[in-house]
Amino acid sequence: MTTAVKLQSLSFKLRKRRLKGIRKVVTRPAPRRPRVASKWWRDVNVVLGLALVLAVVLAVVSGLRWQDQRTAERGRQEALAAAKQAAVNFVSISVSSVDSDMQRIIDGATGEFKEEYEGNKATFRTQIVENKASSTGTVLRAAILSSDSDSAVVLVALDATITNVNSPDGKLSHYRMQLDLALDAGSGRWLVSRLDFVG
Amino acid sequence: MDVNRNRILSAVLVTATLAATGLAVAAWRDHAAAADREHTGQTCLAGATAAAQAIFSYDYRSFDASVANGRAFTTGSFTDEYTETTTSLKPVAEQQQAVVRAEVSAAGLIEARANEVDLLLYVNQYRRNVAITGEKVDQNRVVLTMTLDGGVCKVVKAAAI
Repeated sequence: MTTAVKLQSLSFKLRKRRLKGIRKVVTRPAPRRPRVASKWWRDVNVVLGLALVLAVVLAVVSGLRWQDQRTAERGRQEALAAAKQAAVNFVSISVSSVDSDMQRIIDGATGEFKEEYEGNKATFRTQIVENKASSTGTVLRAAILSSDSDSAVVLVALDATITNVNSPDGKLSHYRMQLDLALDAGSGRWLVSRLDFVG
Repeated sequence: MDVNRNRILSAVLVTATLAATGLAVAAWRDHAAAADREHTGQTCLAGATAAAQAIFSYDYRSFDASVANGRAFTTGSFTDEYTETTTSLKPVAEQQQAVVRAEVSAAGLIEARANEVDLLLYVNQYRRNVAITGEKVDQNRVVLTMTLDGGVCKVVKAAAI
């Protein structure tokens, strides 16, 4: 064997051994690492799971409080809207539609106010018809004096232009009303239980 | 469970946790803001009667003291406006020997915003002066806009409607 051939053979063996070594490193099974990695991920997931439970609990608690507050606010707004409408209904009446105008007031009433209005209905009707009275109300501002889940006291400032036989051109009146409202559980409507003109 | 499945589960848990935390923070902040508005509204409603009575009352015999008392319930540009109005009113009040006593019949909350609240007040002004026999009463409807100033609710705007 010539020196060149010997050197070539030696170089080949060395390269083969080196490749073998590399293959060993690459393909050598690492028996412990996957198990360690798997345990690490499992621990991470346990922590993340606990964090998720905590976050969900916080979200539920915050969500319920938010919903309670929204429900209360919606109730206040509904009571306010009902009071404004009831106040307008109360001062908006026309001789040409007196019966339906009065019925609308009764439909939005309950308790003491309803009884009182129904008791005086005939007298009111006679006065309106005899005086040929007509009036139209406009709400300027309304405010909540107090409220809870099924009752509210609302202030309504409104103006009404009233025409009758004595004032055919109309006369502007300024009102300061206070309405007590009760939530009717059956219909879900806010009804007027008391109406006062504040002195 | 292999590593890949664990990684996917982690990603899902992280996403769900972030989403739930986001919802919790949003709901909490909204609730806290509403609670702040409610607190400001109730605080100003409680203080509105005293403020209105001070601002809308005066006595020609102690006009400066009446105005100083009223001014203590004002803030911002309304303080200047109040000072200007009362300064021009002083000679007339003294000439007419005017005494005006304001009383609040009822007060309610129109709207509570982040920094201000609007209130509706029914204010009666009982007036005495040389041109009146006895006492006359004006039944007013007043919208007061108030704000918290150093923990105390003060008037930033007043308008009769």
